[in-house]
Amino acid sequence: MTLENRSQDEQQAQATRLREAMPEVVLSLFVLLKTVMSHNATHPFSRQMASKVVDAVAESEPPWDLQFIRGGVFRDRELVQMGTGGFRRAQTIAMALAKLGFHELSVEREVDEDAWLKLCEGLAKGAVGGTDGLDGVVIDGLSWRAIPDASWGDEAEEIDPEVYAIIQLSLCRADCERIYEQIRASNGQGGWPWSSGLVVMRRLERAIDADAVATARTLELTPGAWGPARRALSATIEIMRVLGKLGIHEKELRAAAHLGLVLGMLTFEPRGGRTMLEVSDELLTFLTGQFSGTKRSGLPPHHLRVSTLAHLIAQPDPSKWLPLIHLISLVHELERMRAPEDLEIDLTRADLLAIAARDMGVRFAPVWVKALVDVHGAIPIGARVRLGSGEQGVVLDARAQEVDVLLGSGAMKTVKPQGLGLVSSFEM
Amino acid sequence: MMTTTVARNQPAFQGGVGDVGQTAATLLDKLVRSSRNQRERLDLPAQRLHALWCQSHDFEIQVAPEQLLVDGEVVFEAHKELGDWILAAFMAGVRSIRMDINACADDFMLLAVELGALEINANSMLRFRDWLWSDGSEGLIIKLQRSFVEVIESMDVVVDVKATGRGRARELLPARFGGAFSVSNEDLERVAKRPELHAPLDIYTQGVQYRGFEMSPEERAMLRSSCMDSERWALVELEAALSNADIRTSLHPERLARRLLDYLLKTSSATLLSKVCDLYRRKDDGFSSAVIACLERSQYISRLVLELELEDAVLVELSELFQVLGVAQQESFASSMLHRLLEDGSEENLRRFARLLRRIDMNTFRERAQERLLGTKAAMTHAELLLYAGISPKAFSEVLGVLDDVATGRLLASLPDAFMIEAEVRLRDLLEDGPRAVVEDLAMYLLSRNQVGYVHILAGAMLKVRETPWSRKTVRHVCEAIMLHQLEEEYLVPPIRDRRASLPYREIALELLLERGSDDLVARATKWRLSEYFDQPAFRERLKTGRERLGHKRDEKTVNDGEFLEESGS
Repeated sequence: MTLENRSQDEQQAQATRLREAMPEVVLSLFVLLKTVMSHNATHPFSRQMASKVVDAVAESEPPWDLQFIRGGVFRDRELVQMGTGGFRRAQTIAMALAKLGFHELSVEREVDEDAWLKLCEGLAKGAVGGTDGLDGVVIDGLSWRAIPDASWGDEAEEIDPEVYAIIQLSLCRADCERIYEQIRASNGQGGWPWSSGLVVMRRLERAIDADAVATARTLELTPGAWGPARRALSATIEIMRVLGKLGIHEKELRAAAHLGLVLGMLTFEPRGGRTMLEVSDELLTFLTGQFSGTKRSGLPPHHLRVSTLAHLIAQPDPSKWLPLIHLISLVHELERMRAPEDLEIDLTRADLLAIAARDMGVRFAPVWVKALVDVHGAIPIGARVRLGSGEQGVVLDARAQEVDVLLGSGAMKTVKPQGLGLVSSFEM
Repeated sequence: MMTTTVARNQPAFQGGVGDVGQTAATLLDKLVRSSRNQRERLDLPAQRLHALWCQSHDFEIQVAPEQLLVDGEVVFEAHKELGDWILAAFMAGVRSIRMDINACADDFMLLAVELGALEINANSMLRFRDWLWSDGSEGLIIKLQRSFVEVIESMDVVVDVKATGRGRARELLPARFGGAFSVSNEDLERVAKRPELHAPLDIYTQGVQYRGFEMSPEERAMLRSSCMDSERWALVELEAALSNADIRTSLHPERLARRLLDYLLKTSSATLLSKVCDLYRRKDDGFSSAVIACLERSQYISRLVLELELEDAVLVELSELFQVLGVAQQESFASSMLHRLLEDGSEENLRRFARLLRRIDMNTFRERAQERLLGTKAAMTHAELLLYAGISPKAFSEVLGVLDDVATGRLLASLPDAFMIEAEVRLRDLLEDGPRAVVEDLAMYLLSRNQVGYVHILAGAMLKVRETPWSRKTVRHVCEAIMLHQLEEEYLVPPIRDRRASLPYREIALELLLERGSDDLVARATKWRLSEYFDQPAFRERLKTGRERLGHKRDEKTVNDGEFLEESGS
């Protein structure tokens, strides 16, 4: 066993131990809270229970933050595994804490019985309906805070859609970067990591559901290079938006979008990459590489659909393709060109649309180019534009009658679309 | 029936046992817990749950942290190991479970397997959500809330709520904006050498301006329908599964079969049917045979025949399918065909069926019939289909020659006269040597036709039958017919005097002659003969009665002599 492996094993063992310690912390805290409520903080029983909290916390190795959100308990944002009984106990603590206006408890270090008794004295007031149990209370080593989103309502859907979309996209990007590294490390031999891929897909879908424009805009305008993962993500978003606007059913939409993501991750290089047809023979093998892990209840229909599309791409006769493949091919090719090889410049969406328009009917199916244009309109977000005054800027938002342009000076200007001229990436 | 079984097998639980909600919830819990034990069979409880759910399709089970509810009323409460999966399902975001109209028992089984494996940790919930997102729970409608993990993921990330959108974009754009986008001369030179990057934006802007990219409603509709063409999807999914071992080995055959079935019954697809034929041909392939088995469990063949639009291309494929079916499926196929034909009875359908039957090569089927590999019902169906297809009477008599007696008898009992004439030899053989039940049914049919020819055939056969006499009822009917057609001299007098004829025949013939026969015939029938001594006393008595009626003195003397002889013999 290598040193690195041993270290990984130790880390895993440590993580498991800490995870397993948390239900005990919740249990002892619950017992202490109930004891304080039924007796009081000065009762010997309460002190006895507080000492159990101290022991449990020592096992859990602070510092940590404990979040109580919607019935779940999270240690440092990771779900704490508890059974039905644990859930009930956690609910009691969560309700007491929420009544006082808080959702997170931070333990910076191990503290003594008095500190826990003092905390539970405050919590006990919350448990019986009080709202000021922790007002003005300061305990060295312990702190608590409200999580704004957690108090917005019972359902997570009440989170601001735009914020939600941006968060989900950010997480998607991070996931995609990780997946890309993983694929490169195994030289593509490990197959497509379906589980990670599905996480990206689901997040992306949630982001687009919440705010499609914000999602696309954030990806388009975020600074930094258009690396493979970002371009793969962009291709996926394009597919989802086009098919979404056409009203294609979820099943087909998801399959096409997922294949767009897989294709991008497999083919894109930091600059340029391989075309879809260049990988047509290996695509299905790549997709099915990790199918053996899905045997519990068989391959889900989505996996079959994605694989079926890949199977069709390998057919030499494009007339046998499902039409969706032409869309995948179109967006993949455009994103491949987004970061041209041997150049240090990345193309904007407007540049890509111009290429699509130029090759419409030659390389790209006209109907899909039209569908793509239909999503982006005359002034695509992220396009570089020249105003009538000669100033240059970037389009941040485009509506029917007005366009928001971020000027070089950093100022924002809202103008009529008629007064704008699109500028190529090579002309600015 | 099903409810009774379910109720018997479910544990007593809470008040009001027998309520569908409680039973369903209890069964679901049992199924989930059983799924963790590989030795437990899941198919039967899944079938029971499915059957129960089918009683009310809009029935919905709601999931609370520790309870299952129906219409807001608690029907199951988690307690120790009972319902130990409910909290995990709730945390994973499951809020309710309903059944889709197309669901099958398998769907409940797969859901139970996934719920059984679900644990309260992020990875397990993630896998479960992946499975749901991937349509794993097809057949069931599962209402989802964001999972606990997704909720915390989406909140409290360090993003300034007020500085999103445009404000955030402004932050994110490079501070050096204005300069950063300028292209170096070196790059411009490289760009100049790359024609693929030369795409003037005017192409795009002018195209948009002059509506060159505008989609027509027809184009939009075309794209929509082509992307969601379920028939093509089913076809290519099947192709992919059959051509790729990794997919095949990972795929649940029932899943593919069900989807195929859905598509096949929704569309009259010749191409799809052709693929199904491929499945039937690949009998050595475990996956194909499993898919076929699932299709057949759904009575696929008969449903297919009953529901497909029988257009020409489909008919060709159906005849192809018929060739590759096994014996049992052929029977099912043929029976369904006939059923549909009889049910429908329209001229157009008759014509279509006839066209189909002309395309079906019946040789294989005939060979099977000859080797007695076909059941009676199948054989009959086959023959009936041939009749509908317009087979000639002569050719049909050959078909009858290879069918078993029961099938032949039943068929003969429905044939038009032209076919009967050609089949006379087979008919006579059957009447003389066939099973009694068949013969009697056939006899009744022939008599009902009220034609003298059939009476000749029946009486001739009845004369020859020695060992397995026909029933008295049938014999009486035949004898009545003989009387009716005045054939007494040929068919009633001879058996009376012939001891090889069956006793019922002789007795009834004599009885009818004595009742309604002419003196001449009665005289001929009852004329004393030495062999009379070997007849039963009752029969001899009847003969004597006949002679007395005619007042034949010599016969009287003969009778006295006979008595004397009889007395001497005794």
